[in-house]
Amino acid sequence: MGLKGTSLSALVRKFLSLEESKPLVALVVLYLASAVISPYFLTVYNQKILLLQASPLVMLALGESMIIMMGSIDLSPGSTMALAGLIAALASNVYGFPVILSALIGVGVGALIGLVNGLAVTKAKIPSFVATLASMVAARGLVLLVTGGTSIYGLAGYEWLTDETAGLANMVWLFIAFTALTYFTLKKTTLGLKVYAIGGNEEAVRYSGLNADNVKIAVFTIAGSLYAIAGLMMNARLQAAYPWTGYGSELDAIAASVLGGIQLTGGVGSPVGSFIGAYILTLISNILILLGVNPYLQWVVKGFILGVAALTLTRGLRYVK
Amino acid sequence: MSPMGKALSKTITYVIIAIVVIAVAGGLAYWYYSSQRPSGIKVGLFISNLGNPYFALLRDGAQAAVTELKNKGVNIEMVVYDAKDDPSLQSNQIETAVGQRFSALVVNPTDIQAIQPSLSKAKSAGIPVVTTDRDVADKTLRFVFIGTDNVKGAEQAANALIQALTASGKPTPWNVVILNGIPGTTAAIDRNKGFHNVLDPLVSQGKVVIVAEEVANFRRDEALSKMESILAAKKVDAVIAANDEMALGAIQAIKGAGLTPGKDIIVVGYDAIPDAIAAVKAGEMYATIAQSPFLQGYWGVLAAYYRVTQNWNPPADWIPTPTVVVTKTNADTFQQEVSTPKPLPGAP
Repeated sequence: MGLKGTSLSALVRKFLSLEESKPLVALVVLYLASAVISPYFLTVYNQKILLLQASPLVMLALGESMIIMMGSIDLSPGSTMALAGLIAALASNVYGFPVILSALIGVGVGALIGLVNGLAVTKAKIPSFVATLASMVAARGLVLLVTGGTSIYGLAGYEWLTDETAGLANMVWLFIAFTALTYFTLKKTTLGLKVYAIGGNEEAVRYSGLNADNVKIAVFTIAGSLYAIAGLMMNARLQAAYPWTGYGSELDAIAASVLGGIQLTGGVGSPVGSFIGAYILTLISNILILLGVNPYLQWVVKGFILGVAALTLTRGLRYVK
Repeated sequence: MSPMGKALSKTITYVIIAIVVIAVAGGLAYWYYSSQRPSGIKVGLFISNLGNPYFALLRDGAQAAVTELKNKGVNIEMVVYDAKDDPSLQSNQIETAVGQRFSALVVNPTDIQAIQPSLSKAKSAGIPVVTTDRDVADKTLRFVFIGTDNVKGAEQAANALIQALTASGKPTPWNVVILNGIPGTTAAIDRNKGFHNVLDPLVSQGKVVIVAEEVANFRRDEALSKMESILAAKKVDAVIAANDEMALGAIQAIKGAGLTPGKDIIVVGYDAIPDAIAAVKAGEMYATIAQSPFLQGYWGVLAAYYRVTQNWNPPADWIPTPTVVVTKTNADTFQQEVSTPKPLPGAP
């Protein structure tokens, strides 16, 4: 009896020591609460749309969280996803490239924006907030310049992303795979180690002779590619390249990272946390509509829940900036 | 001073005299020319963004009016300015035109507030101003506004929705979803009012139930997510959206739920963008509402002309331009319908 008690408490202690534990508890609490207050929440259809709605945001949050872990910030996710999605749509619909190639071109565009961000931060020494603010504005401008504000519609060939395999849409499998891949990269590779090290103490990293600039450039580029995949997912969901896709999503991506237990000061967090954060955000929007809450009040409630969630996450910290 | 130097200074003196003479003559010629200007009418057309096909139609309408007046022997010319959606650029354009003593300005403001200082300059210079499509906040700065009656257009949209529901034979009460635009914008407020003007009486008669009313900010992606969530909780017969982008997002959600838009759920939009017209033709969207940018431009120039030549006073300070319901039957022809010149109401 006593032995069992200790092993159980050891298990609990081990779980609580995981950096994903607090976000996971928050998600489970919200999940149970939603299931209790709305009979429609746990339906198969609703669970499927939750996953679909979360897909692009998870990709954005994965990229954003890697950058936040380095102690930088990225404001370009929303615009990058829009531009990448647009270029991919143009390539296939206007220039007649095969869809796979067009999608790769889109990802290339995302990587390019990420590369430019990385170079701006490291070589031009522009603070990441400003550098990515510039690319956010410029990329959105390019999208509007090319489209004149109207969508490119009649997109074909994106069905694969919304088609289902083993009961879930392929884009859901895709974001699960990318979450695992990002987790592996950050936790098991030297690149990941350097990311945490830069976020923890960049001076020390530089004094120890590591090339921090190259790591930053690489991470910004990877993040840009992840945003581009989010853009392709939105293309599939809308069957159109919509110029305002992802407008304001950078804030959702940052909020998802913070809700996932990633500290804005850098060096701490897990990509699984940002995935959970993105899921929490999607869930809140969903349950408020299921309940038919007044649209204006929805924003108030959302803000309140975010505040409370953030409060529980920072419990026990000595101080925050 | 050497003879050479004397000759040089003489030459310089002649050159200076020549320059002064040319400048004075040129100035006199310019003064004479510009004082002659009022015999012809010079209208400035200020467009918020010519890259948008909607405003290109407005320009076409204005051009049609100028051509028509010219054919009648009126000495009129028009200069078109494109502000590319930049309020400061538009202010500069208007201020420059005021300095050039234009006879009248037809303005499609980029912003209802930012435009006011430059229009005040036009007012103090005594240049009449017509606003089109968007009005200015201070209505004393223009003598007439020519633009869509969004309340009426939205009523037409809601009536089309009810018509389609009646024809579908679906049992009453009909479950209707309303998707609203960006809170606080004139278009969102007016269109919401129009929807409720038609639907509210039916709600009290028990024929219609508004099962959800959400704000999707005129955006397609937001409407998609919101409609998906609505469909998880409610049985829906029809969706009415304050613009086509939201209607198209709703259609994606309906398809995603395994339902057929147009059959299981009737969708009505607003604006008649090309994407929506394609959806109307495909039977996925029942109807959308087309505005008349062509007439806004056409009537704008005519109003300016009558004001300048006959000090015309319009019957009201807002002349509403017609809205047309676009369904499958007129999806190919409505563009011509709204691009045909019609007489300006209250014209002398």
